[in-house]
Amino acid sequence: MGPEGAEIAITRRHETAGISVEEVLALYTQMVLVRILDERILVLNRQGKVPIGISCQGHEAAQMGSAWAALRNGPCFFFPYYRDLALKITAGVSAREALLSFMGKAGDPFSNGRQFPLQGADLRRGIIQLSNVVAAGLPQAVGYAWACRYLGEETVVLAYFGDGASSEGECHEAMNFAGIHRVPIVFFCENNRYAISVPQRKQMAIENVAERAAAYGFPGVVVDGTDLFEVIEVTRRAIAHARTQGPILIEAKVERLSPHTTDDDDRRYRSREELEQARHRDPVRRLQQYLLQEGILTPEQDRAIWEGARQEVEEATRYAEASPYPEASTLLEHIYA
Amino acid sequence: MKVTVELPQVGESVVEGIIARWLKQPGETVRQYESLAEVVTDKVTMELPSPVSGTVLRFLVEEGAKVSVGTPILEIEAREGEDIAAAPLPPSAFVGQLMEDVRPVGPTGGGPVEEAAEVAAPMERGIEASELSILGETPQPTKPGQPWYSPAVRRLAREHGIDLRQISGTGIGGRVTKEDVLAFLSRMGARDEEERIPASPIRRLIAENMIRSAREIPQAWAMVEADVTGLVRYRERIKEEFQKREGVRLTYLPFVLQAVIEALKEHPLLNARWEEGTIVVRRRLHIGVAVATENGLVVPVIRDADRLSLAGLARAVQELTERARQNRLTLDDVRGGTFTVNNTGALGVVLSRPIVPPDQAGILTMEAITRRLVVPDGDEPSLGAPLTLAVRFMMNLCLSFDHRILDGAEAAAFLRAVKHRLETIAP
Amino acid sequence: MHERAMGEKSVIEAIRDAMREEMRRDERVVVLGEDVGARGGVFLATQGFVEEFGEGRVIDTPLAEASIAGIALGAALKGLRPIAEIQFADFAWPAFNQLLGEAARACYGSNGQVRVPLVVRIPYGGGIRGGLYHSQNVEAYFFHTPGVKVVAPATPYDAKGLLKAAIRDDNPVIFLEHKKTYRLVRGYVPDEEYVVPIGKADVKHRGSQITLVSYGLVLHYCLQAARTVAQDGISVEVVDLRTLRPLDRETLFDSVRKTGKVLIVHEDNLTGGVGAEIAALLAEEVFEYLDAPILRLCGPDVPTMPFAPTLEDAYMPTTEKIVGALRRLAAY
Repeated sequence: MGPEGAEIAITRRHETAGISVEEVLALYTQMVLVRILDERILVLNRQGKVPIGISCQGHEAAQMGSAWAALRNGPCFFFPYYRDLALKITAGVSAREALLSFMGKAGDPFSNGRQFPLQGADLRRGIIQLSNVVAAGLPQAVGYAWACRYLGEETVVLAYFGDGASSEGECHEAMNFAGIHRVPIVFFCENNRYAISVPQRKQMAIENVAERAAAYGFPGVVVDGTDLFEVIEVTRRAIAHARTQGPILIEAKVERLSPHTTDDDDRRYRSREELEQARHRDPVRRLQQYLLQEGILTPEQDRAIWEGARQEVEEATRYAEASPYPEASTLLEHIYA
Repeated sequence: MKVTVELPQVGESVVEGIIARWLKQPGETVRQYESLAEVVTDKVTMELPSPVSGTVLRFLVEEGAKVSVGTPILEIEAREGEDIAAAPLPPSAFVGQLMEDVRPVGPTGGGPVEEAAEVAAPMERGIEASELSILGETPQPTKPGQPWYSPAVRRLAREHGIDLRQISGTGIGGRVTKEDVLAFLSRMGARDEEERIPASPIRRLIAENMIRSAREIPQAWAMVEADVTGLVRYRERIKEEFQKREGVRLTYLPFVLQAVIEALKEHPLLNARWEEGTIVVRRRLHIGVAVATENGLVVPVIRDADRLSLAGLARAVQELTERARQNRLTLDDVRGGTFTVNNTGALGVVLSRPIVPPDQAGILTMEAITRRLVVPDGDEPSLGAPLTLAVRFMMNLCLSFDHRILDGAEAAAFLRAVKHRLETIAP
Repeated sequence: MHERAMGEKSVIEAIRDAMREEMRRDERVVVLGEDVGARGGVFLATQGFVEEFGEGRVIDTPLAEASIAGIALGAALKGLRPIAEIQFADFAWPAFNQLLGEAARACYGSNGQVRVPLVVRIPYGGGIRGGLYHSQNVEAYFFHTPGVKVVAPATPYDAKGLLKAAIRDDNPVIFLEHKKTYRLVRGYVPDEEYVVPIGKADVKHRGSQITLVSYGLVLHYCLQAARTVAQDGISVEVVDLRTLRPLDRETLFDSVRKTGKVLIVHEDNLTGGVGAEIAALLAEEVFEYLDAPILRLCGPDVPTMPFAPTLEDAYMPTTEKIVGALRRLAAY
């Protein structure tokens, strides 16, 4: 029985999406970890231990589902943007590493403390994100994908960006080139309808970013970014398409459940009602409900997962806090190759 | 018509020369190709041929001046009706020259451009530089009237312990310039414990070459002893007949040259030069032979020395030596050497550490032949048995080499090859 | 009509040869830019390339400089060695985000994990009646940025050798080609393989009284000026920087220690140009050897040389202006 007494059908939605029980549980466990980690980062910022916190709450299913699908469908490479914490965890970054990065400590795999959190490159995990300049990574992702094909590889590149980035000229230029040359790339837009405080209706004259794909000669598809299974299914098909036929644009409708960053106060431009409404689409809660309803998880097992995540984040926090900052002597290294 | 003669580009690396001596004076007539001046470059003294026939008008630089290639040095009133071959400014090998008769690219790209008016070479526009205040005023010392000394002047004064008030200045506003201080120092030179000898042009050029070699080439050194008893006897036997037949003295040098040439063929790395990460192996063998003259060491080159016989080598050595000592070497004589041999033995020396010339891989010296007591090869000393001793004629062969191009093993192999050839000459 | 000597090439021919040879040598070298394919480049720099190497390696891009740079950067991140052409320096501004914001910082920002073996060729400079938007000098902006190398050859020999070095370099190299030198400067270029190292200046005319530092087109006017004043017994040493970043400090210091007087000449605007940095550097490092203030003769602080010939000529450094400056400096 569901919350209002109505009968809830068992859908076995994960099976139709081609995901085993073990896999969906693993995804959920990881998603819970990401959520706890995300919350911890915001708290650490308020304690003065993390200079800037960039939350991915509300984006988890879109990021994790797409990354999970990509990693299981042939060679792939990621060009994420600054909000993609969940994606990076899915790609293999640990909670410890994430916290080292947010604190700017030595041992941060992306830049050894030189950059904003989780940006630079983590080549072991197949990630490049050179900066937090909005949309700058998109032409780079296109060039990278083009080069992969030039070298005879089967690699598909996934380039992530938000609704705000879609206004940048470089986004247009990247998609234009990709369409002309049928570059093996999946453009993945995480549309949370806000670019800091600027709402979508002031960002573009259209409803869906995906509509623009037609202007570049390739397909665009809208997906409910809070539905993990839909994201996985669509991404799988998109990757197959990109590998053989050329670019495709996925627009995942998500919610930004937190302010833009810890330097933002979204109460200035979003009403309490709106924020409450958004919480109904929380992808973590959504997946939790699904697992409980389908009987895949009992409440005790679920609590254990959350407890496990808390412990892992706790340990990671202590580890990162105890870790040193990079030596001042490293300042002048790697300016040139 | 008036023709201006400039110092021409006379060799790959030559960028300047010293006008050592005018051979014609203003008012004298000169035929085309007749020598106008003696010029000392960093390799050799050479004579500058006149491009035209006519009358020398005036000198544009002083005798003894050091001038860069392309500098106008004198003017000639050319005889009318003759072929006026005005010396063009030749392009330096790697400098390139501005073309005056080529269509430049159009404003929006290349390709053939319509018959637009050529932009005149900027030199022809009569715009006064001073109209533009790019530089502002002529630089002045900030406190005219008070003695003001630049950092360079103060440093020189400090280094040489000079009181600057003793020096009058020739710079703007009576400023004491660096040149003023240097001139003062050289005038002061003849005092105290020092005698200042201005270096001759050729000494200065040798110095520059040596510095360049020391700075650029990491040099290593190796030596072998050669038993030239057979060679000594052989030469003794044939030398008179050789001189009668060939008209030239037979010294040990041609033998060594032959051995070196054969060894170079087997060890081409010694016939190379280093060029920014590339070893450039020279296919032809141009052997420089050092000659001591009263002015200094010169190194004329025997080109394609591998094509010469023993007699040919002896003749080449004699001819070059004569011309060197008479100051009649041309620039071609000293250009393009690929390896160098120096007969230091002629000076009585038994061990030398020569300096690898710039742009070569090695230099070999042949030392004085001495009579020494040696244990001949093949005799194994065993306990109790008496040692066999013999008096042999021994010649040391020393090799300095560019360690960027080759290592000790290769150098040693080359030396052994030279030694082997010399040791197998027998009467 | 000038007769071609053997082995003599123009600057554009030397550049073309360098690219062609490197493309033959290494399959990872690709060319992107507007009109580089069938047109062979608007300056014919890539003439014959698409025929030899195919459209897969010589890419006619859309008219979009930011993405020319960004896509080339992405390809370089993957390990190709792209040569991106920005058709005119005047159009490079949209590419600055990708070149200086991103490419210059990629190695540093990833703690050395990624390298960017990218060459960006940019025709620049005036004196060709190009007006404000086909004549710009943009070197100072690149010169200022750590993480890029900046090269500006003046001769065919240097252009070929430096472009090869740039293509083989694992760092982003901004390769500035003064468009007036493309056909106007010819010089000897050996057939044999050679490379000119990035970061080494070249003394193109030896002298003892004044160090004259320059690069690009006006280097040739400096050489003319040096030869002219030699008649008056003024001995000028002309240093061609060849590479702007990194500067060859040692060659500059050696020369100034010898001469004590410095004149820096460049076409780019005076304020904040490359000459300003060199002047500061010399004042700091070889102060004790200076016998006169360090002088600069540069383009005035005008937004690029205008279209009309009187205005353009008023802007451009010329042999005559340089001669005047040398004479005044010699007399100091």
